[in-house]
Amino acid sequence: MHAMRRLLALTASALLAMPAAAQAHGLVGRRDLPVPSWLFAWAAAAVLLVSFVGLGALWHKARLYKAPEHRVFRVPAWFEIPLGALGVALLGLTIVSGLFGVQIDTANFAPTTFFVALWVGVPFASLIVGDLYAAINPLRALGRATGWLGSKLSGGNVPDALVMSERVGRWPAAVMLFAYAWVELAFPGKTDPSQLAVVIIIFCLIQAVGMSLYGTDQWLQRADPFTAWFSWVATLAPLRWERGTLYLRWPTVGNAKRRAIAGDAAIVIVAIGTTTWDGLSGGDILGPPLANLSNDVAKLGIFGVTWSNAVVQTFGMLIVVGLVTALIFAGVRGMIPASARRAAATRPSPDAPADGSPSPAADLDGAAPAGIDGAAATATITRPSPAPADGETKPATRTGPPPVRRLVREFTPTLVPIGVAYTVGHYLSLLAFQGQAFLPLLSDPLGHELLPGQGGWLGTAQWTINYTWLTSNAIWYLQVAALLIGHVMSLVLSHDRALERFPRKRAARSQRAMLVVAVVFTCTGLWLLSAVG
Amino acid sequence: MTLLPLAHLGHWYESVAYAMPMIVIGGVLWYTSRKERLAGHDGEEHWDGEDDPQWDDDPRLRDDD
Repeated sequence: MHAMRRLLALTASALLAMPAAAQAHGLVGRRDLPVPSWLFAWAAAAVLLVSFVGLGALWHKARLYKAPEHRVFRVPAWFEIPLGALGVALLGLTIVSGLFGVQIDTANFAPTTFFVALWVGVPFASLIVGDLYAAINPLRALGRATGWLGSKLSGGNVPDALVMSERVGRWPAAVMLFAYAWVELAFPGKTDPSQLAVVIIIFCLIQAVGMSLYGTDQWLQRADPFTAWFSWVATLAPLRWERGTLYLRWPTVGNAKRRAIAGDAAIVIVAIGTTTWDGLSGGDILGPPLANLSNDVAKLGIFGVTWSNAVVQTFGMLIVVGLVTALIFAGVRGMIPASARRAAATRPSPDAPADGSPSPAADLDGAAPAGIDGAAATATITRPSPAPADGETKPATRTGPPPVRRLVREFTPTLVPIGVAYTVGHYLSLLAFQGQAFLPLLSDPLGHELLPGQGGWLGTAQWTINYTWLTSNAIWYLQVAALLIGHVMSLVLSHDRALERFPRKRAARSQRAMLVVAVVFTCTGLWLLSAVG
Repeated sequence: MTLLPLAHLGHWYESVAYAMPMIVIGGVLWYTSRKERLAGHDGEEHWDGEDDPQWDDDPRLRDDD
């Protein structure tokens, strides 16, 4: 099995390339664990192995995608307005404080809001309450308000929104997500509130132009990195909101129900890869070599010192994202036996027309799913098969295994729990401690020097951060639990999807490669986290 | 100075300890797959397409978009 061999080789090379590292944003703390930290990786791998065997033995039918959801209650439509207004107010405050507030990153509202509340706080909350960002998204609120106003002023004569190509899918969001991670990890001005505010303004302008051309909802779903990633995170939540109605379901069921389109795999890969690089680059081991490398780049005289570091960070991010991509592709490719792939490559497709024109099955192979109505709130699926002469629709049939690209699109979203687990693991301490600064900064967003007793707008400006409420050991155990739960959830989702897509025996066999992927991510994640302290 | 190599050995020992589950599980699965392939039981003969209607019939007709 060549794919499995490649997977092992890739794993080995990744291990050689990644010495121990510390997390960049986590607070360093000294742990006093009763057993060596690597034993946690062994235990986690054992749990994954037992889960894999248990799923193969006991879980014989795909059931998650058709699991029921129960309607809980409905909120009035006007409820969207104050939530949107709240988002707009926070966005405005972030920009104003960044531009006009004190230019110290820890005393200014903008960096904590942009890097902690948005990137860490919102996904944490979305895991419980569902897609929170969709409700408070300021761009959505502004886009809808502008659209409503434009429609009123023009008497309804608003030009139709352009329809984004299916092949484009959510690729713009994936690119923007990488850009956000670049700002967070590599941009030299990331600690300068005014530069950060300019970046946010540029981002908003890009989104505004896109929304005006493609419509608010379509553009945000396809090109807003936060809408795209957080909506995937929210698929794991037990609650789901749809048009003001709240539904209750089992956690992770939403992931199985959601259909992936082009670019979704890239979003998951970018989320996992950039978080991994964040943990890797901030450590004591890789930190000094990276600093030396930045100095060497600076000596070339092409970039300044700060931008040389940005160049090194950018290449590092690209390399790690590439490694994660290769690992996932190898894992998904390993789901199909090599002999089946070889046989499929040499077997002519029965769908191939004699005149050499593209076959209907070729449409299925492409990156874009068939028949998604991007402009609509719901998607409909049409079959690309040509109608037979008698007018009946006949599904296209395929010989041999499905192409790897399609499998990647179908199965990578099952790795969303791993991406979330990495986020929780890497940024838990950041949220637990730096997150406490949100309310004090909200009370005094411009960072004025307040007299003793002055509490700012909300009276919380003098609140201080409590660094003792969570011990280093507690953080470690929570990180291990998050990683373990995330990876087991991912195995369950992948197994269920395989059962949905393959006959039972083939489904169980296909998951061996995904088990290796899950074990690699678990051990690597714990390795990165263990280096703190 | 004499302790320096030992320190590095300790570092790599721990790194290898983290890698062991990947190596063991990956190795066992690779060996199993290889054995099945050599015995002709890797399932290639069943990929005839006709029993895979699911690929052309996505049951998830609702998108969260």
